Amino acid sequence: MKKRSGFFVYALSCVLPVAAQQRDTTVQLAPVQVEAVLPPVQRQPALFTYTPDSLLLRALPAASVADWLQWQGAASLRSYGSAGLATVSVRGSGSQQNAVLWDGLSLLSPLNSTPDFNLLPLWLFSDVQLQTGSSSADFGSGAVGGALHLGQAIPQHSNLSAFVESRSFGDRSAGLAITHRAKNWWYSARGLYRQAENDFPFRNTAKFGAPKQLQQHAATRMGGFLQEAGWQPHPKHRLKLRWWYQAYDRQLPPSMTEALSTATQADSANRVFLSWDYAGQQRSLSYKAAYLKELNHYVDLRTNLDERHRFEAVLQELRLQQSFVGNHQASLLVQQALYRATSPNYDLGVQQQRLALVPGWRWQRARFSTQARLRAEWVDGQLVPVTPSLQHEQRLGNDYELHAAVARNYRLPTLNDLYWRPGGNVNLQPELGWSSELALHKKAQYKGHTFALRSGVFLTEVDNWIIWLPNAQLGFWSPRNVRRVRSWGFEQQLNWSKAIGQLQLRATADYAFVHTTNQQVGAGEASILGKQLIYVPRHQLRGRAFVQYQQHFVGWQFGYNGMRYTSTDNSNFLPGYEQSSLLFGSDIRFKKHLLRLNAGIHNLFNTQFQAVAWRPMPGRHFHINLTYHLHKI
Amino acid sequence: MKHNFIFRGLSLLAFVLLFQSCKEEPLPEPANAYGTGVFVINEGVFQGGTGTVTFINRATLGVQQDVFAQANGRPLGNVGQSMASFGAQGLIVVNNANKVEVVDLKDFKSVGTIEGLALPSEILVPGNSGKAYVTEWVSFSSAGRVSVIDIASRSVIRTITVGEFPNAIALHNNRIYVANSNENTVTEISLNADTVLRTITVGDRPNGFVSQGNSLVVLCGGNPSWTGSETAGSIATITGNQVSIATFPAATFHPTNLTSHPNGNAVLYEVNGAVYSETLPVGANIVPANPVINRGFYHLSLDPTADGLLYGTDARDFASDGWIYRYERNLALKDSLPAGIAPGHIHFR
Repeated sequence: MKKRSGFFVYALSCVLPVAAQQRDTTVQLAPVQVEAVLPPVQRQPALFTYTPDSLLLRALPAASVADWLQWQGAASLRSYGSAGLATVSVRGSGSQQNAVLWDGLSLLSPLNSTPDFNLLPLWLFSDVQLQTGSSSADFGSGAVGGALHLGQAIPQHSNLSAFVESRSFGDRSAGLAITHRAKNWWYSARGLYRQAENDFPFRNTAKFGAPKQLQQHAATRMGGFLQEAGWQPHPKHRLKLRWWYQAYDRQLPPSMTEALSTATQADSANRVFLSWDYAGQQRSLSYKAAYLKELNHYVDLRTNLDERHRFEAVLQELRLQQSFVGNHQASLLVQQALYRATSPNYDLGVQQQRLALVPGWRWQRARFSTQARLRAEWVDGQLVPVTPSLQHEQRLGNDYELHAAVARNYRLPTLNDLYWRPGGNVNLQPELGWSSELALHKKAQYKGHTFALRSGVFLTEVDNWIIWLPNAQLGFWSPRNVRRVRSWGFEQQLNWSKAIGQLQLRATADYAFVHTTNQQVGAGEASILGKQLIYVPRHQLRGRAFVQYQQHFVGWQFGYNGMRYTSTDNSNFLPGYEQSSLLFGSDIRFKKHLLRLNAGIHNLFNTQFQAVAWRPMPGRHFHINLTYHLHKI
Repeated sequence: MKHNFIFRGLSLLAFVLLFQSCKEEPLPEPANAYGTGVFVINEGVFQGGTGTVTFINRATLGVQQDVFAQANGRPLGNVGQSMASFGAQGLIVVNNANKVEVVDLKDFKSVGTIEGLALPSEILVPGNSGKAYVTEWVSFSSAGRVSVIDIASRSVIRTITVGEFPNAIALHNNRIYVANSNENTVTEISLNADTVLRTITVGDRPNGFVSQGNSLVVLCGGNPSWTGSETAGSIATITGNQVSIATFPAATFHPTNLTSHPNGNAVLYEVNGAVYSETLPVGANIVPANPVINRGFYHLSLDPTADGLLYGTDARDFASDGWIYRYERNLALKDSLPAGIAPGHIHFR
């Protein structure tokens, strides 16, 4: 058996970059959990977190984070279509106001800080979590609306998983995952390849007679792998090394109002990660370092544009936690980042250094936990405003938990904001704000029914909001700190489950109400004062219901996005839309072998909708996939 | 108690769904005639949006928004750029859709589309020639061109290669002039033969024309700072074969929005966020002092009809509806009217 594992390791390294690996947790039906011998470094406790449903992961192994967020959580997805950019708004945030973290280290591009959630395949990770709410004190710049966490679980067994999938519109994908677990070391590799034509039909209501036409120039092709080698020489020490490579080529389709598009975009990323963890009885220490090298290559034959935007980053983090008597714990986090970027839109290559110190304190008793943190960050030697956070969790009786938090948040200007030619403004100040939230968590059981309800309210205010505006004196656009935005609302999570013999029933619903308005605007912008921000729906609902019987399941997913304004004075809007999907799956198990057949119908009612104005989305379409697992090789 | 709690939670979920915003009230029906009036071409949201046309009835000051979509049940396209008219037809240039929409000004319904253009910008219909001249960038790194369109057949009958980024186009003394806005040249074209007569060197980045008597005034913005070789703006005057160039006082002056002065024998332009007047003929040097309007505009043009009002547009944040400011002949503010998103061109008829 060892020989076989070695062969797979060898074979994998030969077929890179498009082969590779995956998730031993997919054979479990519980939500993905981090499995660690050592206690994981604690994230800031979030009031609301969302993890991909295990059945959704099983049914859609090739899904991206953007695909997942259509169906779950409280993030509003702004998708430019199957081949286009997909960003999110969380609690009214802008697309640049959310953090994306790989085991705690930021993956945000310093150029634009706009993560594309289509570029994050779920297959490569075994720990994915969306956390809503501000957390700048912990995660630094940009964690204003929420944070997406990506991570890897340490494999407990040697496994093999592979899948092939076919979808409508020429969408084909394949994935491979292997893990090898020895006594004190492990190796895992996960790889994914996916290509699609995305030539779906739609009604072009921008043309005379709203003719039916096929989406043009929307093909995509992506491949990537993520490998991890780990060594635990001593029960208290652990060393991990990871390499994540990914390439994504895509044609950028025209909007319904454009004649054609000849633009293409190629993104590639090399990410190397090293960590060392020590956990003693009273003290824990961890060190992480990462090197990121990314390229965004934009080409438009029609306009003869050929631009390469690159950045490199070296990120380091040192975290010390010390426990004291009385269940007190002190911590110190030191983060350092060095960014280098080049772009044809900058006069020269630019560089930025950041250093952050985050002392923290936590007091935990049986019925409550309180923690405070204070972040001080220097950017190129300049101190940005200090951001404190305070959080409290309290048990009330046996079934209730109360969570409360207040924090200061910030977002640094991007390198594009600072150095774009023309218009870059080196005098920009960071966006600054306060957030507060209060949530109640209730669990209940009644006659075999299990309920969990989480309800919360939040209030966030961001000042110095950076917005690009035309500068009459300079004759071009330039970013300025001109607006103050307030966002308030509430989130609800409801989970229900019941078992009847071998029949398992489960349903969940995530609802968010978000009221996000301009409270202060620039000169001549009175018409947008008090108006809801564009592409922030006030109402959003996600629902899922699954029925599982022995080795078979049927699932239904529902997503509703309310009306979204498309102009800042709220004079134009897109209507709300809903979509549903049906998922089916069946298992055949033989000893260590597991064969899974899944299928699905998406956009069940063939809804014609636009998530972003004049960007068509596919109507009803289908998928089928076959997954093979070899467990405990 | 547990039941009540769950019931209340579910009820709340259902209740908030009822708050879906209702559709806004429909806009009023368009008037039947668009024979005379002011047409504001709004670019629309920059990426992937759609342009719109705002119609202003001079007599009633009635304003109709998005008249193209109302008349045709579809959007104008991305990006609304400019407009001209010929007889009872209006021709609207839609830049990123690579087309010119031809509408019947009786009801603004589309009667056809001229396709196959490449990044079209400005349009000129000289008198009764039956032809339309459309400047096209073609690409961001090659020579531009002018397409000559036979309006009756709605077809391109000739293309004329010009300089880079041709934008402004004007008729002067039976010749057509094209401002190559990424160069320091103006291309002169014969109206009868549709051939290039000569290429005239002017200041850097010409961006506007005013025909005044025997002279053609050309406003040149100069190279902006981000090019790495910033140069001052200038005003060139072409009189026959003579070209004189007057330069602004410093390299940081990048004028734009050239238009005729309401009282004649002068031009208006905008620089550093204010509008100035320059008496013709332009002297050797230009010293902008004492602005006539102390603010900037996205677009500025003079109504050539008897009204003689000056129209300036305000695009605000380019993501909300813009505004139009009208000025009397003495350049005192008269009134203001709403427009669409990013009003960038005005056609007077």
